[in-house]
Amino acid sequence: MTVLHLISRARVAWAFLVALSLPVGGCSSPKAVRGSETPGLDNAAMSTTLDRKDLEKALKISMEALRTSRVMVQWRMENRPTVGVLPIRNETSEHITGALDALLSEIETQLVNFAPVRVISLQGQDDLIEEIRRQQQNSAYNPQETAKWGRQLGVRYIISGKVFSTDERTKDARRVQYYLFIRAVSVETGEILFQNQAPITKAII
Amino acid sequence: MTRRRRQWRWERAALAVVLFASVLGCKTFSDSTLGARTALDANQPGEALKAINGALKVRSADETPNPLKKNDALLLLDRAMILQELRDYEKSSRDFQVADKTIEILDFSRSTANEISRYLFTDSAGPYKARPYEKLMLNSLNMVNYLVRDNLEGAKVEARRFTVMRDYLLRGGDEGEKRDIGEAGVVGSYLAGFTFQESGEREEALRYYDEALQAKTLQSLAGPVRELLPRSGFRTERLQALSSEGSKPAAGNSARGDAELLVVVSYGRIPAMVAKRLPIGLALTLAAAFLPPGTGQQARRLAGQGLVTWINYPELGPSAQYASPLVTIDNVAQSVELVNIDAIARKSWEDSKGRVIAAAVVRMIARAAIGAGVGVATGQGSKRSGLGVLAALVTQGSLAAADKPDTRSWATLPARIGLVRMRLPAGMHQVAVEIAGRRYVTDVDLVGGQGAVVDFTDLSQT
Repeated sequence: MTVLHLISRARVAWAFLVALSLPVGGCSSPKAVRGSETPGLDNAAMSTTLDRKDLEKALKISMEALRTSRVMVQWRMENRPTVGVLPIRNETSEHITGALDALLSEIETQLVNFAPVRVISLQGQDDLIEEIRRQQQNSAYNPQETAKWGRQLGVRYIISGKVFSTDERTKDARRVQYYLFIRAVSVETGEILFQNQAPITKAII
Repeated sequence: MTRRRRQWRWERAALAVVLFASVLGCKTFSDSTLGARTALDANQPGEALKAINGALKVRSADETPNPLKKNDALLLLDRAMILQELRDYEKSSRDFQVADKTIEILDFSRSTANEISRYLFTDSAGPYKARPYEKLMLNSLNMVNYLVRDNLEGAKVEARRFTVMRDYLLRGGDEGEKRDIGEAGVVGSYLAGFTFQESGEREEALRYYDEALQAKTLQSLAGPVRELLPRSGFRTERLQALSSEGSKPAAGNSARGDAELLVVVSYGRIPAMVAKRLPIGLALTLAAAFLPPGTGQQARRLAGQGLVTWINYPELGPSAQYASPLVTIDNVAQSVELVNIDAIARKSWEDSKGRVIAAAVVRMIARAAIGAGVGVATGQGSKRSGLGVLAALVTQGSLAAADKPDTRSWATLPARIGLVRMRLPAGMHQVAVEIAGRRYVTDVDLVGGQGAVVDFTDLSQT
């Protein structure tokens, strides 16, 4: 073995150790940032749960479908009927109750701003929301059940929704495909007057 | 280059090796959680919580570390169990969820630096990768946190997460080979079945009960299965056989105002991993099937030269003995169905032991090669063979000292989980559990037609 080989081997060992040492010294401490001052902050997906961007996308699809639906024509003819929005059921593999509460508020906001209806909000009625949520977990997602809540709220129409997901995992990735269903139900007849599905996919790859 | 400069260069290289090795050569993970485990054995979960908060470097259980560092996910699992014992189910649930998300990300992370460190220094380099049974138990035990709070929505989310992981593991998990998960999923499937039964989703409930029954005979499921089968299209031979056993169905009990009570008793702890030294000869025998071709021969040559006599590796500590808990409902003793988590953890360890020892042997050979390289080069550079031999020994010795066995594991998992289930009239009932002479009593107010879950957790090994 030549001296050159030996030196080369030692160089490799030295470089190896330097490379290993880099991550130890190369850490930076986290800092708080403002979304408005950090371009792209809201665009990056942080996990497979639903974030604001996902909710905005799902809501945009659903609300655009609602704007152009027959039920909107019916509401215009009825001179601002009362509408209530029920908590959205979570049938996914993610804890997204907070995100779904935000979605409920956003649906109410959009209805107030563009639909010819009077919105009877559940906001502030935490006990009622909790009761509806609990009952929702104990019963099937059907129009009759939804209409029952509408009668209790004293509204003519109910907007309800659910999110379910298909969740798959492989060695290198996990993918969650969400489907947001929004429907409008007549409290009087239990008839489904509008229904739409908005898909969202999140993954860790 | 002058002789003096060359000498300085090799001395500097050897010094760097020693310094880097000394950074890694601190205490093992199980050492850092010893305080919490000792407090749990003394039946002082409050003290255990303080100790684990100390390890997490937070002031109280209100805080979670941000960002999470290397082993924080594992420490959060420990804290979640301690909080469950303290009946702070909300915070326990939060810790489980944070740990679950982190472990998921870590499962997919690959770091070259960590892989090199693993190859050269220690298996404990890099973030913790949870074992399959730990992932299943995480969702199972978090289901308890939701069920005791009557939060079916949260429990269903955990049930679905449990299923995603169970299905993945049944398909072969990270190794890609189909395998049996044994009883590791029994508690999760049982609780998921209860959750969906309470939610009125009969088919899902039966599907989960069938999963649990695939791995273990559970007589407490006979009643629920008898009640659900006639009202569902889901059938298996197992369910039908169980349904036809014993007494007739208690149909209409819910209508009469009865309710189901499920008592979950988690007690003891699975053993922690401990650092061990294993003679090289025995190590080569145990790891023979897992060593790359030629590695065994290299290792034997090094052993023959007297350069290596032992390897460092982690071993699962001895299991404690546990008597069955005495569970009484309204002063009437109940039969307890037990799932032995300790045995599940031990089987998992036995299955991976050969691979872990093989990795330690490979590290030992890599260290010897680097030590020899540094020694020869130092000797050549300094023109002093004695200095070369010394450099080789120092390098190899320092790297060996840094070979910190990976003792990371979820060591606050209960050793046993007992299930007691019965139908009772609505109203107040007293549930008492006696574990190793310690008595716990809870009053539960049952509402007709609604199930309830009561949890007792005692993580002492004594």
